[in-house]
Amino acid sequence: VNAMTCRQTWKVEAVRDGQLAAPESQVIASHTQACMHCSAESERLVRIADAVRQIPVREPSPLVVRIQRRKLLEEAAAQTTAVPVHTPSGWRRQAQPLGLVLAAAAAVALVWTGVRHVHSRGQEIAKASPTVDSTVISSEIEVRATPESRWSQTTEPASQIIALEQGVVWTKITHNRPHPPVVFRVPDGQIEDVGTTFTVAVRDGQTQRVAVDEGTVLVHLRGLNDMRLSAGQSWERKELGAAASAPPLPQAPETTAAPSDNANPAAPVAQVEEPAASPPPATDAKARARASKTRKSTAEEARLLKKGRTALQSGRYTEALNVLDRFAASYPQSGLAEDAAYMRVLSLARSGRNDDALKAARDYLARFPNGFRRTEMQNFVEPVKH
Amino acid sequence: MEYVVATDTRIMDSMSNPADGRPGTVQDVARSSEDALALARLAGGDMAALGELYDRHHAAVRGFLSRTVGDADEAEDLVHSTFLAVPKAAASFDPSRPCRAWLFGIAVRMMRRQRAAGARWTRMLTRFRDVLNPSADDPERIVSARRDLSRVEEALYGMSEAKRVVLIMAEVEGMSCEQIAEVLNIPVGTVWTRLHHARRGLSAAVAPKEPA
Repeated sequence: VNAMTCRQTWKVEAVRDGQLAAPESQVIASHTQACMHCSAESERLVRIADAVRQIPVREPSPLVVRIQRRKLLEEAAAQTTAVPVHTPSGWRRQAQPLGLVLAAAAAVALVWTGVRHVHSRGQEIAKASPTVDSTVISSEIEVRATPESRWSQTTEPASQIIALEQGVVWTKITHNRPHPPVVFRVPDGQIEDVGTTFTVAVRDGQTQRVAVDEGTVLVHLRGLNDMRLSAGQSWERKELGAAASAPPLPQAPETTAAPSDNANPAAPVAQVEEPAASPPPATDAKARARASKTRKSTAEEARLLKKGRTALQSGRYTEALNVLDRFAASYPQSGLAEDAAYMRVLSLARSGRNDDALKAARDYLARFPNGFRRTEMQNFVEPVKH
Repeated sequence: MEYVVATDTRIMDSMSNPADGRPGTVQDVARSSEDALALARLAGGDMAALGELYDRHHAAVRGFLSRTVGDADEAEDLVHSTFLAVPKAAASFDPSRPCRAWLFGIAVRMMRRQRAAGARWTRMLTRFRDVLNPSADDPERIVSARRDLSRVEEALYGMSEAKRVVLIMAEVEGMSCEQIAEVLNIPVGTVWTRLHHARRGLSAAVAPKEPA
């Protein structure tokens, strides 16, 4: 390897693997830019990483995944309630009919005991675990919440109210009619239960996600059309400048769920059939203007951006860059261009092309001076200035 | 059975940033909490939670296993075994750790268990035979890009599994060396050494071609 003519070259790999402390890593990073041997070594490491990432992964069809999922759940359930089986032999065969009756009775008793055991174990774990607070409000309502969650429960004359201010809560409601309705309040709306099991995540005053395991819920959130979510369906908010310590990564709108008027990146991604995302809140004039601009080419833009995002998430950075470059060339005025530019910076940075990533970050800041990821981009660019 | 888990939050569960170790997004954090909640429910016997975890992570676990074992069918079997082991291991999950890295740890153990059974090596040998003696009627083999990929695959699947696992965890999954060390229960120095040798094994396969 010709790179071994510089005494610092071995450190290029050491920096990549986190073997050196930050100050020395920065020195080596600067040195690598100037030294042809070390920069060749850096390129070699990136080539290796790219080559491994590009090894194709065969993905099964959704139907196969569904079948495998069902098989998994069946086997897991069978594991939980497994009962030892004894084969009769010798004289025992003579007593087979009686044995069968006894075995059946024993099996029933064991399964019953097992189910009770599992149930009580669950309660114990839920109570003992430092991670999840479990509260049984009544025989009909059970709530499990993560420790950081802030939630409350009140009973009003006509309804039971569960209010979630912050955190993640899983709720199981078993209705024995007649019963007062259960209303789940979130900072930006409410969720009506229709007898179900569901999870709600709230952060920074906004509902981030609603996922339904069983039954159906009606979701009413400010600025959005009402949604009806059934078992297996979920809704997720797409971030747009929410107050967060780390700027969110872009989420391309789901083309399968989002009709053509779901162009606004602020609009949520609803994995349900009917509800189209409604226009953004009236206070968000910029987002509304952007939505109207991009209305026509949304589906294709979203599809392309999603492809780039999937490649990025999967570590196929070269592919992500190709897709994002194609996006930039095809839709320079797109409302999603900012997301694409941001993902481009990530793709370059993660593939080890730090110089190109820095340039892309500066381009982002020049093009989107008020962009939602400007703080992150400034932080990325800043150390180089000093 | 005890499963060792990763220690830092570098891998977030929906969108990690292997390059700089930034904390996750708002949605990452929400999902991470949901994973902890689902695992607690699973430990309590709620099997529906296993379905949720499968939905969120099966693709990532499949990708990791597929690249590591180099055989899609075998990877599929291992995905199944991995998730089937989750209910038993759920009670040992530390919610301050990333769920996905924890699942990778289980996946590696399942892989080793299956290797002991010997079935995988038979398939591996078959695969090697195909790589080393490509059939004449396979036109893809003569395409240059495909040939390059085969060289990489040949080198990757020719090295020891221990090196391959570390390389894929680091370069594809974006795990830090400390995180890999915890998941595999080996010293971090061993991770560095394996990574170095794994890369050296791939160097020739990815070397730029000399102009003709």
